[in-house]
Amino acid sequence: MATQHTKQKMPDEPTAEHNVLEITNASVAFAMERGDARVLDDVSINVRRGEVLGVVGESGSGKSMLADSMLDAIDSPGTLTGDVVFNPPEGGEPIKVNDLSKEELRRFRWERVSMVVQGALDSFNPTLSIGDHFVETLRAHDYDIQEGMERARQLISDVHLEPDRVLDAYPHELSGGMKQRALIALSLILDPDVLVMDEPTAALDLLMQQSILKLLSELKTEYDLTIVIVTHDLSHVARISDRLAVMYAFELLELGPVQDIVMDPAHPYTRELLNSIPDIDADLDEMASIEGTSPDPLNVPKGCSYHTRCPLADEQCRTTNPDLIEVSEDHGAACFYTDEARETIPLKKEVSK
Amino acid sequence: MSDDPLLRVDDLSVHFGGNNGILDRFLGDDKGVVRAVDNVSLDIGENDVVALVGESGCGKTTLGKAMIGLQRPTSGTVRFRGQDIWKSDLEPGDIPYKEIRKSLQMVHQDAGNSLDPNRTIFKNLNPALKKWRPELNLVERRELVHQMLDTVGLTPADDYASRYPHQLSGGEAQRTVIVRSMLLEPDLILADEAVSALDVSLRVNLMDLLLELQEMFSTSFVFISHNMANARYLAGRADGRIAVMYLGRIVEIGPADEIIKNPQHPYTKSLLWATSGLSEINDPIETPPVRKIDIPDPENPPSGCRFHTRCPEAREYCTSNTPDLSGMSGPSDRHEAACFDAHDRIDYRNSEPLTDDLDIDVADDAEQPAD
Ligand SMILES: Nc1ncnc2c1ncn2[C@@H]1O[C@H](COP(=O)(O)OP(=O)(O)OP(=O)(O)O)[C@@H](O)[C@H]1O
Ligand code: SF4
Ligand code: SF4
Ligand SMILES: [Mg+2]
Repeated sequence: MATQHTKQKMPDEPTAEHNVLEITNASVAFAMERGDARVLDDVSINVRRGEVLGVVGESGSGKSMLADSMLDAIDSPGTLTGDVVFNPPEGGEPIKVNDLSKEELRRFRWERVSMVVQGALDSFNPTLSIGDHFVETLRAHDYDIQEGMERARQLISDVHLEPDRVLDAYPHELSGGMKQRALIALSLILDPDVLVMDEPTAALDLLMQQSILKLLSELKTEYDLTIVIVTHDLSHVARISDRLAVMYAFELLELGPVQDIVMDPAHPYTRELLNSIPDIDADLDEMASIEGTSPDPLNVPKGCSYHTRCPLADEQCRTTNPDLIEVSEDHGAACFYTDEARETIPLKKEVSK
Repeated sequence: MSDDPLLRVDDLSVHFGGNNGILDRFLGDDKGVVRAVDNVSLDIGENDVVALVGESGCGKTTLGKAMIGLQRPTSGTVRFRGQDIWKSDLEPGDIPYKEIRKSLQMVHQDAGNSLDPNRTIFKNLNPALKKWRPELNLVERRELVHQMLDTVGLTPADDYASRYPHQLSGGEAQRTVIVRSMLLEPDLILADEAVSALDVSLRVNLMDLLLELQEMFSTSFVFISHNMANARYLAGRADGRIAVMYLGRIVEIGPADEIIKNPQHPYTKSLLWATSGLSEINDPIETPPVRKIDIPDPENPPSGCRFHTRCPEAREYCTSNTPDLSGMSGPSDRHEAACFDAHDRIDYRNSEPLTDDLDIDVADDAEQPAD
């Protein structure tokens, strides 16, 4: 399918050493009464070793599907197609994640890529103490319990909780912010290389949210982690992320270093999204919502999925879906008219450099 | 009578638990009293906008509900145009209860769920109209509903009126619920986290809509939010106030601009720290400006100033003395804070700073000097 734009496709980034996860043409489909729903549509993205990757998008844009794909954790009846490859940091054979057996996956999900799922506050078993959760996990994976619990205590104090109190506590005795931190500690108990967090702070207060982000950046350094954070709140993860991936209607629309995405985004959607955020520093008169709503998975517009809301849409946009192409170094956008977008959709917020 | 504000909250407290509270049953003792709202006073004027902000569990919703008569206070009063809304014997000339209840309306957090899924939008809106506006006939009610749906941008109105709730997007459901409360022409609307459930890209629209309605109908609004940026937008555009709550008390209140640009209470400062804007993406996340990140147990709140266990400015004096909310000397006489430091109290100055270790990031603070 030839498109007429002259710019290059995003070059394949560095190599296996740099990419801890390589996701290629990942799609997720659900069979529904009204037809097949594609809730992740042909997304390719590499997660680089040691980075914090922020995945942002509105509710229902497919962020969780992308996050789940990284661990081949799509709930059946959903099906994942495409490739997810994990490159062990110690070298050796790449692991093809979506070929793993059930048992191999179970280990992979704690020892390689660990995940704190969306709405995780309820994922503790209410009849077990927090300490039991650590012990159970260690036991299920044949780890030395005593040694493991030493690590547990360290992790718990790393997230600013008191090990003595928290290990004996039951989930209902902890506040939301404490539970979330205990979960982060638990997810790190088997020393994973990558931590994927889906809306890790959505149910929490701003002060707790920021505090948790601060903790995550500390944990990252201490435990040599790669972190993927999925969120609907761009301004919230911008400061902790190295790169941002912007999703819309189950596709990846823009990807690049956080400074580029926030200060000089190329995609009309990203530009309008930034202008719509009720930002604490912005001029009150300058904020405006994006007109229209995002499409539902059974009814994604033909061509560029943003064309129904995009002020620049033309005939080409209505018929052809643009690929993610490089617009500047390491920065890609899926739009035919990125230069025009930058000219005609001014950013309303000033970001100081 | 004419001096009375629309709503006057005076020394209001709401305590939960104790002997027959629901909390007790699973705590199994009678110590579990939570002072959800503790000695709060606040006036809401005609055409006034106040945004109540604070962490979850700080008592925002309880205070809001007590203000509109959905929660009976443990002590203190709420007066609607001078009349105690819980007064038991009405005298001639008093405002009837029914009138008060109609005048004080609420829009809930999970607006979508408060619509009956088996009824069309019109049938969802009709019963309240029938009850509170009995003077209208069916044709007039339909007319009014269509008019309001139009006003909030749910057009064509007759199409929306005949839809079922599952045929609405989150934002549309939220607007429908707002229409439902506006139809009664209330004097005050309490909107509890009415914006935060929506996608970021739609929030400004909804806030603009609320502000337009506020102006159009001269309704007063109390917005509850945990988000400073939203509170600033709503209160800022309407020339209203922001009130900051912490563990059952209002610790700072003032014009939106003053609170954002010139916060006086250390707790307000910490909330603003947590609301860093996009302009700061190049700076690394700093250490939170509190000594502990967790809120104390509300059943066992700290003595003295309740913020002293987390406050970076706390001194010995704060542990046994409770600061009152009082006016700041500054550009605005409407700006009040409850903090000894903000008011530069001499007893506070003369006492020792609290010296527990900072909870966060001590390790980062480089090597100690050798001396
Ligand atoms: N089990 C399922 N069956 C059918 N559709 C599903 C299922 N799970 C998710 N979806 C749909 O897939 C789409 C993408 O969902 P996803 O959970 O990835 O969104 P999201 O971006 O994480 O949204 P949010 O911010 O609300 O968490 C949505 O339209 C959702 O309704
Ligand atoms: S491809 Fe066309 S419709 Fe899509 S975002 Fe770019 S200009 Fe808009
Ligand atoms: S009174 Fe003392 S503890 Fe309370 S906020 Fe002011 S300085 Fe902090
Ligand atoms: Mg999700």
